[in-house]
Amino acid sequence: MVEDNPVNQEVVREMLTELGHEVELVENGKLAVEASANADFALVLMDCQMPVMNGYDATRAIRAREGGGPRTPIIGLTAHAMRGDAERATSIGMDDYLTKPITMARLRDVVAHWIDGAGAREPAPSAEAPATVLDPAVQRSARVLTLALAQLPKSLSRVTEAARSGDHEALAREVHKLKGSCLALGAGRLAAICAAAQERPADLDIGELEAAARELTVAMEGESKARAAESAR
Amino acid sequence: MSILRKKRRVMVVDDDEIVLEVTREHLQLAGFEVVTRASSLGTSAAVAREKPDVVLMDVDIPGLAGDAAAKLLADQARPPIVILYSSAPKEKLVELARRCGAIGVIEKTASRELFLAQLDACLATTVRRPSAI
Repeated sequence: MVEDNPVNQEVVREMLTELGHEVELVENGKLAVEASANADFALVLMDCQMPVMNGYDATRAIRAREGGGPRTPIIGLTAHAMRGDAERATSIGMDDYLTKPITMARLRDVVAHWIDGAGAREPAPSAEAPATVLDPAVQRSARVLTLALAQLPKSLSRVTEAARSGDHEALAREVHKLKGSCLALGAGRLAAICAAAQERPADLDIGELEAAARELTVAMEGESKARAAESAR
Repeated sequence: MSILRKKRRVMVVDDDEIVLEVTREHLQLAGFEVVTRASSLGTSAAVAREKPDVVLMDVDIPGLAGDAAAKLLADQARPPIVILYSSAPKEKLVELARRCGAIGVIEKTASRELFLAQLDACLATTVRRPSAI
């Protein structure tokens, strides 16, 4: 198990022990690469975000060393139930992933599948859903929806202005702020566009961002009307 | 409800009105008392006045960066537990938290379960270190 958070270390170690497995723990990707070179593990549970070396880089290093030889199953532990994380995990060589917080049922399922090859795994829940315009699994209050409908045009206007002025520093700042709002709302698609623009402001397609914002506005207006109709009944 | 959440008073500092409101709802529905601030400036005085047990501090906030504001809180007579609260990459947050004396980090999310799981994980570390409470 590769995990830097002491609480997660303890929780998952207890779960694995209860499932009858021996657990060796290291706290970052660099140590995981070293440990896996010196011993055979039936399975590696790899946190994706860690200091020193993250789980993605560690997985790449382990896969590079394995070459065409025996392949240790690596299960990514991600904090985000978003398609981008899942795709990233599997595209860089992880075999599967679990979204935190990890439940005993999901852990048992995934470990049984990859160690015994016997698991009839249920598909991962929200982690396999695409980044939605407005996550239907999240409950937003009427007050939050009203606030967001009032604030989104202002945020969008600041982003557009920064993009048109060519001020990449200001643009990165504005999309970071908009990303925070979107994450709090469950607006995954616009959050993902903002996250990419924060990394590479010069590559922002402002038309794509505006289209995603329009879709989000329509979705929030719909949800707001539905909420009002519910409370009127 | 987790024992960690009983009768805790939380101050949320964030310049985004949506984040403040969503976070207030996450916390209140879990049984916390909540006070919010839209600016990091004056947080030390507000903490002295409001006496929160926990401060959730945004990092990229105009005026005074969240990690700098967190450092100032350490000088309080009764320093609160500080947790950095951001959508910045977790590696950056963990490093900032280490430098500014915050006990942990919470990544912004619309999922109440995910938010509370992160908060519980942070608060659990203070249970192991009673002197930090």
